[in-house]
Amino acid sequence: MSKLSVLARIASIALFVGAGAAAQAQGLTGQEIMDRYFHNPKPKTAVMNISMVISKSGKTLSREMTAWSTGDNAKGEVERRVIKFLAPGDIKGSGFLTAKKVDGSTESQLWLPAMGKVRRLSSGPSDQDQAFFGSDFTNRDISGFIEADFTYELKGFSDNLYTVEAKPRHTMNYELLVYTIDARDFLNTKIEYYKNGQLAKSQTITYVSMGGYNLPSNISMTAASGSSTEMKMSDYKIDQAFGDQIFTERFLKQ
Amino acid sequence: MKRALLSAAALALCLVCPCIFAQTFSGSLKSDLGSYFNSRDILSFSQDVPQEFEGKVEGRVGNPDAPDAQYSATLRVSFDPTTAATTVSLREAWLKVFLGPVDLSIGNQIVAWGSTDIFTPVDVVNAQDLTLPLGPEKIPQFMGRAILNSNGFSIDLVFVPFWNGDTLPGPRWFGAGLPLPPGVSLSIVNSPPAATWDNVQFGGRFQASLDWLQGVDVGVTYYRGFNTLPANSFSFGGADSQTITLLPTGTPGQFIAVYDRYNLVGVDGDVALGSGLLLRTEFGYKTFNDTNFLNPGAGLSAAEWVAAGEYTFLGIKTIGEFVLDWTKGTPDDTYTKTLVLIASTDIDSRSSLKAVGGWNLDGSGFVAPQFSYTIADGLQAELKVYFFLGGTSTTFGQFRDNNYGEVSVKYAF
Repeated sequence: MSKLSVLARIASIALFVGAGAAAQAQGLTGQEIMDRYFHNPKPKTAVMNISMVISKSGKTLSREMTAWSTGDNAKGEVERRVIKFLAPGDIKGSGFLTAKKVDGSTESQLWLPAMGKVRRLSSGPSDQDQAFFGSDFTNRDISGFIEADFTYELKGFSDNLYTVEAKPRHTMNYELLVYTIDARDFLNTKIEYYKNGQLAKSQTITYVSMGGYNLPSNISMTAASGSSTEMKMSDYKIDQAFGDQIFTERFLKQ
Repeated sequence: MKRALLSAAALALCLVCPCIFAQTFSGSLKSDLGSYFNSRDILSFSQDVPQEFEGKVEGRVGNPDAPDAQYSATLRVSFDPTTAATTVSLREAWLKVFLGPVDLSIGNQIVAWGSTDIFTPVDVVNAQDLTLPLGPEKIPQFMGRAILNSNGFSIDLVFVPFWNGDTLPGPRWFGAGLPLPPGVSLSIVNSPPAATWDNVQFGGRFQASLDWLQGVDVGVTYYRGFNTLPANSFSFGGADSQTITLLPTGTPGQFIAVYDRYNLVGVDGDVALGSGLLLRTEFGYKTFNDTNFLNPGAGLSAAEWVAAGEYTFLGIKTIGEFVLDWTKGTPDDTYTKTLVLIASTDIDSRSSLKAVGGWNLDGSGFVAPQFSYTIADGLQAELKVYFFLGGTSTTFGQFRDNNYGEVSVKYAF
C-alpha cells in the first residue's frame, strides 16, 4: 500500500470518527451531557486515604486525611462526607462533616480539637467558598457539586471531549465553570473556574477503575495566583456497610 | 490528692495499654517570648511567659471506625525562664467507653458547652487559667461524663466531684477594684469548697440539630456548681457573671476568697441562613445560694445574654457579638453592655491575620491583632499584641498599663 493510500485511509477513518463524534455532540445538549456525568455510577459507600500537597513558590505543605462518603444526589439521596486529618500535628484530629442535599444546599460542620466544639458553617458562599484548610480547594469543592447547582450549555466538542459551560443557579464565588467531559465515559477531566471574566483556577482529575466504578485517583487544583494543590486518593474501600453513625458529630469528635 | 490518684490511675491505664491497643503519640513544643508594656512607655517590658512542652498519648480499642473505647493523656512540662521553675502538670487524661449510643468517660476532661465563641455564659464546667485574661485556657477537670447520642439530639451529663478554681492572673490584672495602701501587695487566702458530697457539682445539657433552614442547633443547659473566680474586678465587662467578693481579713492587702454555689440554667442555639449569615445566641441565668452569711454576695442572681452574627465578606470572616450582663444588686441592678468584633482572613496557605476588638459602652475597649505563619508542616509562628484603650476608671482602660506582646513558635507532631 502506498504512503498516499495509508494517509487517505487514516484521513477517512479520522473523518468517520470525527463525523460520528460530531453527530454525538450534536445529539446531546449540555444538560444531557452533564446529566450523564452526574449519573455515572457511584459506590454506595467509599473510604479512602487522601494525601494533599499545597505548593507555592517551590515550598510545600502537606496534609494526610481519611475520608468517608455515602449517598448519590442523582438518586435523590443526600451526599454525606466526613474527612478527618491525620497529619501534620498542628491540624491532626480536625474534621469536616458535610451533607449536600438534593436541593443544592449544604450543611457543613467543622471540628477543631483546640476549640473543643463542633462549629456549624453557613451554607452560603461566605463559608462554602473559603479555602479548605489552607488549600486551593474550597469547602464547596470538597462538598462537591450536584447537577442542580448549575445551568449548562454545550460550547464545543473536539478530541472526544465536550466543553460545557456551567452557570451557577445560586450565588457562589465563581460566575462560570467550564467542564471538560470525556465523551467515552462521561467523566469530568477538567474544570476551569472563572471569576470577573478571568480564569481563577483550574482543576484536573484522573481516575482509577475499581469494582465497576471510576474513582478519582488524583485531583489537582492550580490557582491563577501561582499556588497549586494536589490530592492523591488511595486505599479505596468501596461498598462497605457502615452505618449512619459515621456521618455524625459523635464520629467527627472521636 | 484523690484527684491526683484518680488521674494517675487513668494515665497508667493509658500507658500500659500500648501492647494491647493501637496507639499514637503526638505532642507539641512551644516557645514564647512575651512582655507587658504600658501605653506611655512602650519599652518598659516585664514578665516573660513560660516555655512549654506537651506530650500526648491517645489510642482506640476495637474497630477504628467504631471503637469500643478510646483514651487520651496529655502531660505538660512548663519552664519559666525568669524563675527557672519547672512545672509538670497532667492535662487531659481520660478513658472513654462506647456502649451503644452512650459514651461513658472518666478522668481529666474539658467540656465545651454552648454556641457562641468568646462570651459563653453556659460554658461553665471547667475552671480557666487566666494568667493572661484575654487568652484564657480551660483547665482540665476531673469528672465522670455520660453522653447519650441519638438521631438528631444528644444528652450530656457531667458529675464533678472536686472543685477547681481559676488560675488567677498577677496583681496587675486586679485593676482598680481593690484599693490597697501604697506598698501593700495583694494576698488572697483561698477558702475553696470542701471535697464533700454536698459540694459535688453536676449538670446536663440537651442539644438537638434540626433540619430547618440551612441547619439549626439548639441547646438547653443546667449546672449546679461553684464559682471559679474569687473576684470580679478583672472580669472584663462581666465576661463571667460572678458575685464573689473578697472579704478583708484585717491584715492590709489580705482577703479571703469565698466561692458561691450557684444554679445555672441556659439556652443557646445557632441557625445557618441561606444568605451565608450564621446567627448564634446564648443565655445563662445564675442564682446564688451561698450558706455563708458573711458573704455579701449571697442571694444575688446574674444573667448574661450573647447575640452573635457571623459572615464572610471579601474573604474576611467577621464575627460580631453583643453581650448584655445583668447583676441583681442592692439597691440597683447593674447592666453592662459590650460589643466584640473578630475579623480574620487567610492571606494564603501559610499566613493568616486575625484582629479581635472589644468595646464596652463606657467608652473603653481593647484591640488584639494576631498574625500567624506556617513555616513548615506542623511548625507555626505567631505574633499577638493586646492594646487596652480608655480612661483609667473604665472597664478596659484600667488595664492600659497591661498592654502585652507575644511571639511564639510551636511545633506539633
